[in-house]
Amino acid sequence: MAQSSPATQAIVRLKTADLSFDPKNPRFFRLNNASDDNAVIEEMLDDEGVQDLMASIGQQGFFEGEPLLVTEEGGKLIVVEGNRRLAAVKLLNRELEPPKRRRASVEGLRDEADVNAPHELPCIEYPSRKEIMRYLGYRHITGIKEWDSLSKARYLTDIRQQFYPGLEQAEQMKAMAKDIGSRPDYVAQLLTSLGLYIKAEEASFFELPMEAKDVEFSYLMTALSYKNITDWLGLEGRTDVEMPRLNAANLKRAFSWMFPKDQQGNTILGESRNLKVMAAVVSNQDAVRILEDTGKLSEAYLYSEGPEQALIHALEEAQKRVKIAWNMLPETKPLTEQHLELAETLFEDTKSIRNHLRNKLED
Amino acid sequence: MLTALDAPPKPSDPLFWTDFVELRALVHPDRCYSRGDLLGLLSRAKDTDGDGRRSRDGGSESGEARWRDIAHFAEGRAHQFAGAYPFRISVDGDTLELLEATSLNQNAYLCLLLSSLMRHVPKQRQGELARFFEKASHTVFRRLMPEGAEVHPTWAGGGEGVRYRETLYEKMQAISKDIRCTANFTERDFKENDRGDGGIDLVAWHPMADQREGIPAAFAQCGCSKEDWSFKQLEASPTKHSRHLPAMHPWATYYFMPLDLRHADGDWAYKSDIGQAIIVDRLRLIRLSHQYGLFSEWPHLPLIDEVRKTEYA
Repeated sequence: MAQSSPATQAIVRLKTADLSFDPKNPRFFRLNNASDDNAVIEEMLDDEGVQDLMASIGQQGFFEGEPLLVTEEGGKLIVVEGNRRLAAVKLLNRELEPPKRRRASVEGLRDEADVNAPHELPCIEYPSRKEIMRYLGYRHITGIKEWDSLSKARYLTDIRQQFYPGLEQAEQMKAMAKDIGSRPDYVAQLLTSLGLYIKAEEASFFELPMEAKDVEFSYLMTALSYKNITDWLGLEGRTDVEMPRLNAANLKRAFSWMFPKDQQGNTILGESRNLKVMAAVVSNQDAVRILEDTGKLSEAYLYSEGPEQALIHALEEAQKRVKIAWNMLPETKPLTEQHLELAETLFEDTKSIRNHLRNKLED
Repeated sequence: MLTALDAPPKPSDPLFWTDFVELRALVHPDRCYSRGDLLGLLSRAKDTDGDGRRSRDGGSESGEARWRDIAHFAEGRAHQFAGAYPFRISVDGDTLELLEATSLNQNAYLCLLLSSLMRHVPKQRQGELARFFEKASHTVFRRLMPEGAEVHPTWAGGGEGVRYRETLYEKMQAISKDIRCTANFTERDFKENDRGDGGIDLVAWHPMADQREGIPAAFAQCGCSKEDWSFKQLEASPTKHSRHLPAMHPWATYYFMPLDLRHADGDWAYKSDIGQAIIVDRLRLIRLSHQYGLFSEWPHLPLIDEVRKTEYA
């Protein structure tokens, strides 16, 4: 016979003071005494990041659509599902106090809460633990599928428009960060990235040979982590949501390097780690010009600090490598003819460089 | 006042991650930093950092492994730095806590920690941190040289008593006289108006009770960068300067760095990158200062007081 799912059970409101943490909760396996509330609270604060949840509940209240799942054992109402939320509420409503070392941050979160902490929570009561257990595995092992960064940014844009249109920008970021249990600068970086995306989309991606599906939004997020890139784009930093001084020509350049694919399916950027190289390139006009002319990031990079510096780097790098080879000599046995041949080639190449430099300097 | 506190280090070595977590504990309102804090940070970082960390630290399992490495490394530091280590790992292993009262030697540790994390210090304050580190290195270097040795910094701004002044050319000439060799360079070998240090921050020599050539000498370079040390360590070495300064006996080369350049097992990290310079890293600076009672002579760093008042969760 089919079992009844949690959704078919009635929701009741129970006092938080009557609700106990589940000593058998897998989260608490590290604890010596999982029946001790103090030990549970310490674990929640140190290991489970319950502070993020406190900020969110303090900002928007407890989400009634997600009741705690409860059963009675040994005369106590045990919360089998929802221990983290219960800990956040019990800390916010001062039913429980944090350990001494966590007092400052918990007091801060209590002070900042806009909504009074509840003393009752929506719960679904089950006759036994067994009926809840099978639902927990998917939730806590596989988990809810996290949105990608573009989805997160679009969601936050909606939240901003619907709930915080009248606030100053800094307050908006702070409020949304609390809503999602994150940080204001992270929220602002998501929105700034989305702002760049929308500017490009409105300009039909600058008529570049690309479509919306070619945009890897996480590249925009990552690019904003480099100051050279934000400066070059005319942004105040990675959190310049309104971007009043955006340099549209450079945004077009950035898009042209990051997203359009050639016939082999390659972009000029290649992979995300090359954003670091791109950040170096945009700091130098010569390097940008070389990149525009050649479409080769590695070539442009050599000019990012000017050709003179590029040569110094190359020679220093070579010197370092030679030093490593020198240090290997005593330990390497046997030394072979191949080693000698390579050393002789190296010697001749180095001599050519030296002679070229000498001749040029003497001219 | 610090920057990029949500940007974890790029290299994966525990020495860099432990530094980062120590800094986060230092500025956290609770003066501690936990595994849960780190997992939250890594979760955010995977959206903002495409430098390869997405795959390495995306899941909570890898974050937990990262924390285990950090806690293990911090325990090792507590043992190695002994009384100078201003943190402790909680009994349950999930939190790094700043000790409440920090002594002179623990404060010195914190100053070196901050010097190792220059990327989190605003550009306009990096100069004072670099100068602090040079002066602290000078204090230790002076004591390392034998009795009777002359030890002088080459940096500018030291007032009347500064030995090496004006352009790099003039400084190098003065150095050649001090180490008793005939300078093999002319003014045009240097960039015009170069007032740098030529890669030499500290110069030491023993006069050997006469005026003849062939005296023991040592040059030192100080550097805070976690990337540049592998090539900067040779900036003060005979490899770079012996042609200009043909001394009868090659000088010893020291490189001072605030990094704790060790693996968890205590051996040098990046050993293959260590060249002919004698590396004086965080552990050596702290232990030598303890051994010779030098902490009271360390320069004051007002920046560390400001950082300690910072609150960033």
